[in-house]
Amino acid sequence: MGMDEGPPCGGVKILAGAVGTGAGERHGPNPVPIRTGAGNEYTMRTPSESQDEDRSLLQRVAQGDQAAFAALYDRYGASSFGMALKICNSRALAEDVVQEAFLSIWQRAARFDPDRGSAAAYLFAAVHNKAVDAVRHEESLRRREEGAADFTAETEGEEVVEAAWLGVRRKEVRSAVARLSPVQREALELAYFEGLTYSEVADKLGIPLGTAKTRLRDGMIRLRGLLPHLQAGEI
Amino acid sequence: MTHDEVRDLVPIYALDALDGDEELEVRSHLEACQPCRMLLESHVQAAASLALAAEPVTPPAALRSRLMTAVASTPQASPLPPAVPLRPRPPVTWERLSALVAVAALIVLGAFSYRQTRHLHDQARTLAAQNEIFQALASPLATAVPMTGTGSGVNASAELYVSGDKHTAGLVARGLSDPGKNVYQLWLIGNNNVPVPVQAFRPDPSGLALVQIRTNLSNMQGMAVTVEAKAGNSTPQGSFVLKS
Repeated sequence: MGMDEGPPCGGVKILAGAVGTGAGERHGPNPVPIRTGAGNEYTMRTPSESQDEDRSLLQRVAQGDQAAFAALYDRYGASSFGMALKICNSRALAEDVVQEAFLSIWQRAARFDPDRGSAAAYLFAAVHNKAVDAVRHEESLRRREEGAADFTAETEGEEVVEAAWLGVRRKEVRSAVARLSPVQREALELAYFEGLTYSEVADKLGIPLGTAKTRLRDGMIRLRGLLPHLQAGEI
Repeated sequence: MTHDEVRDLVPIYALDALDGDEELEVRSHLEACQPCRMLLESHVQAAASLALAAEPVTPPAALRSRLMTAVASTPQASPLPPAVPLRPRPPVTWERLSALVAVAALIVLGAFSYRQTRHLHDQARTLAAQNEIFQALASPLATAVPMTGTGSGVNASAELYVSGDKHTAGLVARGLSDPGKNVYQLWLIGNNNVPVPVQAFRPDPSGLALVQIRTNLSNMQGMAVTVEAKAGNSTPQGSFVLKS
């Protein structure tokens, strides 16, 4: 697990299971190893170590390992459900979406190519795809009128247990999103979280098609450039 | 849709935000264009990150149980390709024989790439993709398009095997010289006579190259291979070595 030799930055120590949104995190050049003890588990996993674990979990899933599948679900279930819920605006629909997406990952794990990107991205892409399909089929215009939630909107507060490194990643993503231009952010929100196609984005904002395309494309390029973990990655 | 038009749409494709027809066109181009696929991968990573911008919400415990129950009875796509089903043999035609040669060549490719792949997993995926292609090419409806060498490729020859539905093809080229630091680039010539880049490749040390193509070939007027200084050129810059 690399307890003694964390990378020069990004090492985090936090009580495992705590919500990784602030308290307890410490970025530093020399993470100090913490002894683990029964009932008092500490972890110093970094995002990249977690990414390696994800890959091996997904490879085990490809061999029919149900425990590995459950571990992946426990790791990403809350993030997936949160995303699906924001898109679908209905718990029942979001549950169906997450179930279908995870089931498709179970079925197709053997086709995951670890050289092409992270397991988490593969998984979130599957959930997003199903969620967008679901809302498009539902044609819930009313939902779209009412459910114009933005990136920062809070869902009703229930404490979520997730790994510390995921909290770190979450902060990175939110800070990257905050640094997009307002029109880029707005276009990405409509496309990603409302499941609108770019021509629907153009309609909704009353802007020409080409402008919607440009905002989305430039927003994605900028987002990619602002995400530190993508800069460090293989692509 | 040109290569550059597709490149512009790749970030939007990664957001699942293209309309149906455009999505199909982009997907079809992606299947044939390695540089666009690499671009897509980076955008898929960025798009997936947006999932974390939403507040996480603990799903109900019942969902986990339902999922685990479903998993227990859901078969998985096998990482190994299924055996080619036996079926009555159609009359042997020249095209069919050629297709069978392509099949044999693709099997050789499988064995060859096995040594090069680091993971058994990669190998399984490669074989599964090849299996899909050679099943399409083994159909009696498959056709073969001969290609002849020209310029520095004067000693080369090739056949392009096209599946009956014209969405799958395999190029088998031989006699190609080592391109050194350059690459060979396969182009599809569409009905407007504009070459569209399909894939860059290198032959093996014996001069043999096998290229799998999955794109819509129904408007194909011809195929050509050029030698290029780098992969990813959107128009031919180098000289032609093979033409149909």
